[in-house]
This record gives sequence, C-alpha cells and structure tokens, in this order.
Amino acid sequence: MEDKKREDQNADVITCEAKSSFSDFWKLEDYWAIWLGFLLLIIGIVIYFPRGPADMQETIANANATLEAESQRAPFKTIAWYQAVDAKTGLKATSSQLGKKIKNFLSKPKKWSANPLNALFINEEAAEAVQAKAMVKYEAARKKGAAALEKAKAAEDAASAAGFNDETLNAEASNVIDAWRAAHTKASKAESKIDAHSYNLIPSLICIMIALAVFFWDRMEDYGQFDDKIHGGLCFYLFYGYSGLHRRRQCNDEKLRYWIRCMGHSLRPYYK
Amino acid sequence: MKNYGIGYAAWAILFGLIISNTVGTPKWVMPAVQTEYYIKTGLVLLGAEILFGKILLIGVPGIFVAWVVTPTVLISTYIFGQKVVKIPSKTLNMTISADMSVCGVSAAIATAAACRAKKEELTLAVGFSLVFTSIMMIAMPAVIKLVGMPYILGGAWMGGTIDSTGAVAAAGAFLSQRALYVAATIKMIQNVLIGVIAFGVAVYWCARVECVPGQKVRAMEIWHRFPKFVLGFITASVVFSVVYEYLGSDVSHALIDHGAIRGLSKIFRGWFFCLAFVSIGLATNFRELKKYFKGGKPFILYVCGQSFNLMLTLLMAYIMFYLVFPEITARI
Repeated sequence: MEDKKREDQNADVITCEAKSSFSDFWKLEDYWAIWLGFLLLIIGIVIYFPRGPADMQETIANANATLEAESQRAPFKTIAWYQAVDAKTGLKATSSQLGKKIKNFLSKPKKWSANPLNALFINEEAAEAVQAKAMVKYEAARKKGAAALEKAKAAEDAASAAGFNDETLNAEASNVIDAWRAAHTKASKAESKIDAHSYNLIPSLICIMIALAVFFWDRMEDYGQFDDKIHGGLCFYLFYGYSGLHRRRQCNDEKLRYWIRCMGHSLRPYYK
Repeated sequence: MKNYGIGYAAWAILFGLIISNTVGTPKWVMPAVQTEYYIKTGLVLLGAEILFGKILLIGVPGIFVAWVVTPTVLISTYIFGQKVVKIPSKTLNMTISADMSVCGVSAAIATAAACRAKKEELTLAVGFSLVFTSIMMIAMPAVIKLVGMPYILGGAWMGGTIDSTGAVAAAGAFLSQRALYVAATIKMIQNVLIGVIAFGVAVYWCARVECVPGQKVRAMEIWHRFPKFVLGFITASVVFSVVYEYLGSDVSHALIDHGAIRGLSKIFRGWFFCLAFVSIGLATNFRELKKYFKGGKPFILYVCGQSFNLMLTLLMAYIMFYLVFPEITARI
C-alpha cells in the first residue's frame, strides 16, 4: 500500500531526464534551427557572391584613391570625398537582376495610407497617381539638391583658392557641403519613390506562406495532422506565384479578381 | 503608426491575439504555432548580421547583467518565498523562482525536473510566466518610449527580464534594430544559464532538501540543457565576421551586407520573427490565463520576485552600460 502511494506520488512528479545523443543532430529543435539557418545563409552566399557589380573592384580602388587624396588635400570632407563614398556604397549585389527579383518576390506587405488593400495590391491607375505625386516631390527635391551642390562647389572652390588655409572659408565650405548632403539625402529618398508601379502581392505571399510551411515541415509533421494531398498543391502554388511575379506590372482589378477566383477553385480539393 | 513603434511585430501579435481571444485558435493551426522554433531559426540568421566583435562588445556588460542578476534574483526570491511569503511547497517556490528569473518555460521544466516538482506546480509556474510575458513584452517598450530611456539600456533591461526569447525579440523589435540586437544577445547569454541553474538546483536539493535514493547529479547536465541554437548564432557570426575581414569592408558591403544578408537572410529573418510573433498571439488566451490572477501566495511570490528582477536588472544594466563600460555602449 505504501509502495503504491509512493508510485502515485512519483507519477505526479516532473521527471525530465536530460541526455544527449547523436540523433539530436536531426531530432532536436535547436539543431534544426541551426541547419535551416545555415542553409539559408549558404544559399545567400551562393546566389550573391558571384553577382557583385561588374566594375566593383575598379570602383572601390578609384573611390579609395579619391578618399585618400581628398583627405590629404582639404581639412574637411569635400564634395569629391562624399561622391567617392556614394560610389562605394552604391555597389550592391542586391541590385543584380536576380537580387531584385528575389527582393520583389519576398516582399512583405507595403505601406498604405488611405486604403488598407494597397498593402497587398495596387492597380495601374492608382500606381500612376502615386508616381505622379512622387515625381512632383522628387523634382522639387532634385532642384534643391542641384542648387545646394552649386553653392557647395562655389564655397569649396573659394576655400581651395585660399589653399585651404583660411579657417573661415573652410568652416563655411564645410557647412554648405553639409547642407548639400542633407538636400541630397532628401532627393535620393524622393527618387526611390518615383518608381511606383502596380503590384499584386497575393500570389507571392501565398507562395511564401507555403514555402515557410515546407521549410518548417519537420516540426509540424510531428503532430501528424497534415494531409499528403497538400504536397501536390505546393508545387502548383509555387509555380503559380512565380508566374504571377512576372505579371505583376500589368495587374489590374480584373486580374486580381481572376487570381482570387483561381485560388479559391484550386484550394477546394485540399479542404476537408 | 510606424513612427509610434507600432510596426509589424505589434500587428503580428495583435492579429494573433484577436484570433486566439475571439474565435479561438483553430486546432488545425496549432501544429504551426511553434514560437520557439521560428525565433531560434531567426536568431541563427541574426548571428550573421551582427559581427562577432559587436557580440563580444554587448557580451561584456551583458554577462554582468545576465549572469550576476539572474542567480541573485533566483536565490533572493527563493529565500523570500520561504521566509516571508511562506510558500508551503519548496519545489513550487523553486520552480516559480527559476521560471521568473531565468527564462520562462525551458528553465521552469529544467528546474522542476531538478527539484522533482509536481506537474501542477510546473503548470502554475509556466502559467504565471505566460501571463507576465504577455504583459511585459507590450508594457516595457511602451514605458521605455514614454520615459525616453535610451534604447540600448531598454534592450538590456528587457533582455534580462522578459521570460520568453520570442517575446524579448518582439519587444526589442518594438524599439529599434540596436535594441533588438542588445535584447536578443543578453537573452541568449541568460539562456546559457538554464543548464547551470538546473545543475545547481539539483546539487542543492540533493545536499540540503531531499535526495531520492539512487539519484545522481552530473555536471553533464549543463551541456544537456545548453540551448544549442546559441552555438548556431555564434558560429554564423564568427564565420561571417571572418569572411567580412577577408574580403575587406568595401567588398563585404556589396556582397554580404547588400547581398547575402539584405538580399535573403534578413528578409527571411523578418518573416521568421513575424511567424513567431503571430504564434505568441495565437498561443495567448486571456480567458485561460485569467485563473492565474486569482492571487494567493504563488502569485505574490511571482509579482515580488519579478519586481525585484526588474529593478535589479535595470540598475545593473545602467551601471554596466553607462557607468562601467560607456565606451562600449557608444560603439554598439
């Protein structure tokens, strides 16, 4: 009786024996997190390392030579110094064709102001309206940037003419160049918004959702609640979304309705 | 909304909470509610984004915040529970103390096993942890913004006090990228303590409280309970830092920073964190957690211990990041 009571008490006690085994490498959640993380990092390296800008080494060498020369020439950061920095920072493997496609495909919902649906979808007319609005802002920012650059050039020339020995002229040039940088940054931001085009993120978001489900499949499958039929649907949706990616630029309301209708039909066999 | 810090993390949690607390999280969705798995994979990817030198920078003051405060709070809360609150069960006292001071569920399970706590005691401790995690991950970033606390200090504070790693990442993301780095790094430093604490509790229990015949306490416990994903985070950071150094900062900027990272891993890291945050929301049902608010001695213990934890962590983070190592803070 005493033994039985102790047994009952023991059954109620937490016994979580800590042990390690070789199979942890493919069974333990922590290791899976490592393998999946590493897999993505390796894929990133394989994709982007061969896709550096064509003139990367030359641009970097020229920019570094300019930076060196300019920092010896003037006691402040000159226009040429900043332009050399811009040339270097403009080098991005993500600017390659494939890089742009990947970024577009993996895009998260966009910003919206009046209509929440614009986070997922915007038609050509609306995109053109956004583009026109952005263009007006960009033109104004570009003009300000150009005017600030002219002023900066004049101030730097004046300081240069004095052999960079006049502290007042140097300080003036430095301030005016700072003002140009501020205007330049604003113009660059405005420029990034003039490329507004129509988009429909629904196909790519569905693909991401499915890709993530496949990616983390091992854990979910532990629950044994997934139907094998879904496997067949996955390939279809990945292809479907990829084809949608190529058509995004010409998307409109009619096509959005078509996408939604097709998805509804094709998902039906997988419902239970 | 974004300017007020209500970014994707807040929306992800909010939508999860709405579903969970209205129609309820459907059963067929539950297999996908894998908060820890998503956050661990995201943190391995985060390792590639933070150069190892920066991890070491955060690590120096971070070790003091995580490794000094945590055992201090654990021991103090346990003594407070025994002497002042007079918790009837020592095992419940220890499980709640560890769960509150270290890192929630994982620490609670490890400690409960080390001191042979009862299943309902573990459930209670984990329940408190879930309640306070859901409150703290929203309230702490709000307070930090409200009082204008520096984000690095705020990140360190949250990393040392919020129980779940996923919630730490979410709270850090509410503030800024740097706050996320600091909060996540300190949380991972603290996570390493799970095995050490479980080992220490088992040794103490066997020596001073109750030793089950035949029970052996092995130092290997520390390794068995070690959160292995932290190794992935460190390895990713070391490898990318070495490659960064080898290629030079200019080429690395083009191929790593604006290539492998921003072109792929960072995007996926954002998606994984988003999945984790939605999962946090989907797994939090206030009706189920309501029963833990009924009060009683365990609740008082948790509240007092967590309050002490909040104060001591903030004090230690301020001392370490702003008085002892201000030059490190400036470089983070």
